[in-house]
Amino acid sequence: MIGRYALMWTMTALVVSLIPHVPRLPLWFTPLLLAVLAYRLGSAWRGWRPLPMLIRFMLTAGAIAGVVLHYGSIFGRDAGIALLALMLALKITETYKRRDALLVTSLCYFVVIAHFLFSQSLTSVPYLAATVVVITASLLQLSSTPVGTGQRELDWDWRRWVKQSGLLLIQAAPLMLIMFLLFPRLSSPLWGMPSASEETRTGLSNEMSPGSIVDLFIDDSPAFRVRFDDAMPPKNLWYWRGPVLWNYDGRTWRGDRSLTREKLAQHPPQDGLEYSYQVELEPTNRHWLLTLDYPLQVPGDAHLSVGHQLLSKDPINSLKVYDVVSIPAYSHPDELTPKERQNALQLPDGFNPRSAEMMQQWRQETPGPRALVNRVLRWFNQEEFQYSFTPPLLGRHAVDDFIFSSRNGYCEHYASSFTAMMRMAGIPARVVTGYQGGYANELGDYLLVRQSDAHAWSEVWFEDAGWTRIDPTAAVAPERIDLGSRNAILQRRGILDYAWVMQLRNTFDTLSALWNEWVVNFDSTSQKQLFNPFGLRDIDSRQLSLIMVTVLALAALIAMAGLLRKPRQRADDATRAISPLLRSLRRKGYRRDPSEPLQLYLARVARDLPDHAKALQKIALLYEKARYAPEPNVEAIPDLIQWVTRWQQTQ
Amino acid sequence: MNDIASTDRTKHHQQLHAAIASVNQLILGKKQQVKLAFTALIADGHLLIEDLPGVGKTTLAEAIALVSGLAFKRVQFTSDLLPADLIGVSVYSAKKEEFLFHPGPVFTQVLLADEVNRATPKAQSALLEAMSERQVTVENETYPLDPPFFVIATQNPVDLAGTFPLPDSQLDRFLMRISVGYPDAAAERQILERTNRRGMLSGLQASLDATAIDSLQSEASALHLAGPLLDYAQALIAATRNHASVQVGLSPRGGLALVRCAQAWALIDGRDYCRPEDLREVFAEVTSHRLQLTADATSSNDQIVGDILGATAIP
Repeated sequence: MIGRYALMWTMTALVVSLIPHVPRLPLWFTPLLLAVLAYRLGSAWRGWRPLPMLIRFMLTAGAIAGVVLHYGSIFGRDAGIALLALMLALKITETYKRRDALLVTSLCYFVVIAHFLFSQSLTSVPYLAATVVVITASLLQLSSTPVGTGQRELDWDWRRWVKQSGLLLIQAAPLMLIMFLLFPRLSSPLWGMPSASEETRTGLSNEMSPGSIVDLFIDDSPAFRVRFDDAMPPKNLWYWRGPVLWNYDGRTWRGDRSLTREKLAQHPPQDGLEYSYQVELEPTNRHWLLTLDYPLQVPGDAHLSVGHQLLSKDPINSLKVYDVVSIPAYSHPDELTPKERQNALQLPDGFNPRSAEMMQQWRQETPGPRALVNRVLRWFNQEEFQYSFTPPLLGRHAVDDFIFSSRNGYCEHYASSFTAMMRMAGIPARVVTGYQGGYANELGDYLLVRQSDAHAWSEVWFEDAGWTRIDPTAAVAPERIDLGSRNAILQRRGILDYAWVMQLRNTFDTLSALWNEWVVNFDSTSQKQLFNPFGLRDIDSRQLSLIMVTVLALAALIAMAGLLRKPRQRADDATRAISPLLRSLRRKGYRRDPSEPLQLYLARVARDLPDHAKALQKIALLYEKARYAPEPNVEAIPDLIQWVTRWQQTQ
Repeated sequence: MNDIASTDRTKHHQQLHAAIASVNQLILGKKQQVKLAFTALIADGHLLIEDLPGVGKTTLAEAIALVSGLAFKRVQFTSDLLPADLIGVSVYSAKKEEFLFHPGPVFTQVLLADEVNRATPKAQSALLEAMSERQVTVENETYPLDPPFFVIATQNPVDLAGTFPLPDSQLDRFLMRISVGYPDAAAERQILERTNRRGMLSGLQASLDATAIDSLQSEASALHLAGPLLDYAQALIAATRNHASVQVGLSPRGGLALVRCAQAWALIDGRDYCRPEDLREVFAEVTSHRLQLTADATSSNDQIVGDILGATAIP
């Protein structure tokens, strides 16, 4: 039987390790967990009887059924974790023996690790580390409890266990580091991560309907980070290209499957300023990779689609790092393919009659496409259009409603309306979504782009110049482009926008970037590069294992040597009190043989220093009393400290 | 009650110091040896004095017996000494028509066994049995010896012809072995000045008595031993076993003897606790005769004891 404190420890370990999972678990999990804990506590304090076998069996069967109902299966990451959490919670109902408590506590480590299957960001690491400390403390408490009945239970004394557990973990840290650096890594993960459809992450989507981007404005989590090999491009070029949307149904813009799958034909030869950079993309569960307009050289496991969108072969389930070279002054091929042209002019029938009529008229009044584009932009700029995050809802004729009545919207409204208007005027156009802007983190020398930097703009086809980026939002609210979406309007987003909070967040992001670079992104390639300075190239996993075993053996030898050394006696209070005196005498050249009693030593020194003889004699006597006399003489220690301090002051 | 006990204790301490002082007046310049001899008495052990003839072994033993106010007997050990001469004999009494036990000289409180190595092993073992058992068995009848029972044996380490050296197991029964040694120049000058040494000895006053000695003995055995001190004692004991030239080091009994002597020494110094110096003061006398050296050892027991003291760190 385990005692109450041992039970409390086990429960604490379980609860703290389950907390990060709770948002992902079925809603009924939390009440069930609380009920189980309450029952077990009642059983410990009020003497409630343990649950009968039959009820426990039914609970278990019910829990499995619940998981199957909720997830459709008991396999897979999410269902598996839910099952583990449930079984652990139910195990508490039968945790009466130490063996069970040890099992529950040990499995808590696994629960903690499982969190990394969902997120490997730095944010959760401090909490998880603290959890590990708690679990280890619980294990320590459990294994120190005396066995058998009649034994007095250990005190609660949580400081002692936490301290001991912290010490143990600190001692284990070097071992962890060695294993982290040297354990052979697979170049591809052992098991596939769940596919994108199972999970929704905030971020861009491959369609755009009113309101889809505005949600992102309040999300300041990092979308990706960019490190430029050389200088950063000027700010007005910070357009990060994401999904290109071709198909419009009057309300929603969507990507075109076949155009997205189709690879871009050969580039025409390019000249102009190139930027090469590395992007560190946070997981999106999507295929697309963000690039600076327009990508030229792309990584091997990705392709450029017809819309110049970079798409990776596999969905981005974990932090993805890739190198790209972009050229802002990209010259497009001379011809649009019929398929592209058809898509870029497609409009749903029976929508927006007023704007269609206006565009027909303008088309006849203006000499060419460029003039028409400029006229529309000027119109946006001069009429009473406003940039706002809280626009009124639009009706069926969204473009008509927007440009003639509400005139209140953000990038999405402008890009959508503008592109539709271009198509009405017979100019091929498409919507590009992605991010615009970023925060240049000088501390970490990288550019951070947040979800709140999400943006949408337009591209129109000019026969003489090919696809050209037109950002209608810039015509209405140029400050959106200069300052970023956050600063473009006066509305504050609560605490997020205070300067010091921003500062703090930017500093934290530097840490996150380091974490990503050195921990999350430490793969077999970086592992191999670790040995380049030692002249070891192309190390294979066998050699790596050999190195790890050697290093571990060396570490074990060093540790053993430390353990075999005669255990250093922990200095008692009296010895600690007197050590400053002994140090200072040693500096003066009075050597003391370890076998020389302190009395004799001090008497010897006193003969050389007659001025201090009295003090030294007193100190020797106090030391002796403090150290060897029966208990009441521990009062000698404060005296001793006082005398030693006084002696030091005279020096 | 406590006050009475404490005044008694104070009185006993005064008595002890008076006794030591009067012995010191007789045996000049041998304060250390005198103190060690009293240490053996207070630690309730027996004392072996080993030295050349004429340096005052017997005088020291007699003086201690006299000042301690205990019954004193002296036996000169010779090769024809029989156990019965020592422990007594049953003789048939015609008048009472039964055997009557006539107690031998061992029935006393202080026994001086002079030249103990001259007697046969048989006689030696009779004495040593009495020393360790504190009782004598004669013809199925056991006679206890009155406490305190304190044996002072002397032996001459040089003139070994016709002697039976004490075996190691029996040496172990002696708590301490001391040697007296020559007096220093000033003391010797004073000794030469004196004319009536016999008279001085008989003029010694008994300062102690059996009650005082009993109380001092139990006080000493209860003296405080701090943890670090015991660590040091253990380190010393272990060092005797690990020394390269030593075949057999201190036994646990020897270790106990060391601590008991240190306690008695500290009591004589008037302290209520032991300190490392106490262990060091008695270490040579407690240890030296208990060490069995290896066959190829080049140092003497005393040198080895010195080595050990110098090489063992005080924790």
